[in-house]
Amino acid sequence: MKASVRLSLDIITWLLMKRKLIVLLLVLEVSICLGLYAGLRTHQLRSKSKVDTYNALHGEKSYFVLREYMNDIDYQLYLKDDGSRYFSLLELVNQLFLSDDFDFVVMRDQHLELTNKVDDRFLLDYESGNGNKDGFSCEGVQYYPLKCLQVSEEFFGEFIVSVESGRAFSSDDYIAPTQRPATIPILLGNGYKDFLPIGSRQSGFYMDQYFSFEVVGLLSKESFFFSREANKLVPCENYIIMPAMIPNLTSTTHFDRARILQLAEGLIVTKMPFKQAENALSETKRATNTTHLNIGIADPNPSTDEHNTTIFDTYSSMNDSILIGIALSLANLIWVSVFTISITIRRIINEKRHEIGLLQMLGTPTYAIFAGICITLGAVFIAGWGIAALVNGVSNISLLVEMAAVSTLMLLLSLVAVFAEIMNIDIALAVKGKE
Amino acid sequence: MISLQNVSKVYSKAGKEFAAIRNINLDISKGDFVTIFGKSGCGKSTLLNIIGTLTSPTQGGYLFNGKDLTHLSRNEQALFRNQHVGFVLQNSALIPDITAFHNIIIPLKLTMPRNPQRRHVAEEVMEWLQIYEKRNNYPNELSGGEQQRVAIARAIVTNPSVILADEPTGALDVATGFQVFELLQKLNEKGTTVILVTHDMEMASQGKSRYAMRDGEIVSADIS
Repeated sequence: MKASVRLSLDIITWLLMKRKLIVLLLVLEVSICLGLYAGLRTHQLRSKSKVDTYNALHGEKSYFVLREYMNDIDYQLYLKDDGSRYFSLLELVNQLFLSDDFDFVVMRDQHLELTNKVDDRFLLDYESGNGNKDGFSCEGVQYYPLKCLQVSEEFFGEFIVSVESGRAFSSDDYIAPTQRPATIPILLGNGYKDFLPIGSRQSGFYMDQYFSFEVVGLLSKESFFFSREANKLVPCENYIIMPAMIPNLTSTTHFDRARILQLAEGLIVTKMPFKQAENALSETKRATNTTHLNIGIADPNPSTDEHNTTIFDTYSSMNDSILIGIALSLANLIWVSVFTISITIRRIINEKRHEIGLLQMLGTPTYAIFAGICITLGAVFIAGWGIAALVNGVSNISLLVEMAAVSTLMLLLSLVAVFAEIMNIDIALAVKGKE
Repeated sequence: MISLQNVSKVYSKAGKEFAAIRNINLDISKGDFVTIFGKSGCGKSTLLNIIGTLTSPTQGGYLFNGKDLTHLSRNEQALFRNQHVGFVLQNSALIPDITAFHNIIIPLKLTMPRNPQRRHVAEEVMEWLQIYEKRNNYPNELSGGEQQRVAIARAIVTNPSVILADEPTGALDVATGFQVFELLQKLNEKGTTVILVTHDMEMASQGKSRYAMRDGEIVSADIS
């Protein structure tokens, strides 16, 4: 048995050596297939590790939206009183940050009107088709409203947001500038990568006030935030991020009053159910004497008090859908590779039907010929596996084992067709093939 | 030694059945030199393939040295061929990618584990057939006669009890064909049973036992 397997292995190796290019192409195909597998799995493992890290850090939290519901009269009173409402609100914001019951993240959609729109996808309301592509003109200069998030420092710890190049905001960036014309630092979503360089300055309006904006950094492609409108994770890709700046306490201008009102908009992050979170906020408002200010938690689902939308669920479901996509793509890739490898090997067998028939005529058992092809094809898969692992720099043992398992599966599937082809050889006809 | 009892072989093609051989009864003794004569398509090669277990009969029985070979598995048939049968075909049927020497030792690799032993046996046979000098040549570097000698060397290297020769001189000129035929006769003189299929009447007439076939049946037998 050993001798017959060795014989067919010798002969099949000889036959394949005459087809070095085809063998090389087979190795290449296997290595591309396994390389893509390794790349996708590495990406997936990295994402999973991010989810795990996120979960370990934050657990299964709920995100409740905090917003102001002032009517026009209350708003005018707030803007024009002696400043008492303004200072109360400042105190409330401070207490929200200090609360033991929940975390508070300022996150407010606040568009910027800049002189450079760069690309339509960065326009405010672009996704709904209402983006103002023409912008507006002011003193002969064209301005365009662009999507921007105004965030507190906690935003970066709470969400999956990281700076790819440049720098993150420093503590000083969260303090409102006192002198004019002032420069506000901004971070750009990864979509801006090829358009605005780090260090460049843009000029335009923020809440009707003219500012200069300095690009200090670029966010990574994998940066997401939780959108209260969409109720899902949204990529930072097309957003500008600016710091939610604490105003100078001695200033009570309309601009500062309007702006500090924006600081009261964001997310209450807690493991408590909605009712409990609402009670905790009421306590804080009572303690800061701001019950008269119409600021509260938006009911995430008016039909039930117990509704919890966790960012983790959202992230997980997003990750799951990506996983399904990856799995489907991989299954297709493996199927196509197995199909083409089987076709190629069957073609070689057909071309060499005469020689294989001769081996059988001389007494080589069918199983030995099949074993010879298995070993030869196995060597092709091992070479493909090795190249894929080397090119992708895979050092993770479990991923290497996984790749080997995928490679074995592909080999076995390919061999089914090969086996059928060998069993189909009519020896008498095959040996007469070249008469 | 060989006994075929009522053997038929029927092929199916496009739903139609075609009988290549019908109700063949044939007994061949050890050491015989059998020639089977007939025109192309009369079924003589099919008969040889059944004797060599390259094809199984559709019906009938096949005994070799008293052992029933009718229902052997593919692997058992392979083992039988390796141990008992040597084939010489019209086309020399050599593997073109390997040398004459490597072609000859293929059947030995299945039975002789040691390389020096194989080499010794193969070289002895090559010397007898006067092709030793050509041992490192590839088949396409050999003449037709030399290729056929290599094929004969491969057929006899395991010392089989039967040589099945299917038109072994069909692709050769008369002189070379005669030399090949003489080699088969010498093998027969050494005790090997030879069964030769041919459409050459003169060659067929030199067999010890002579059969003629037509339309899948043996129509005459002249047994010595």
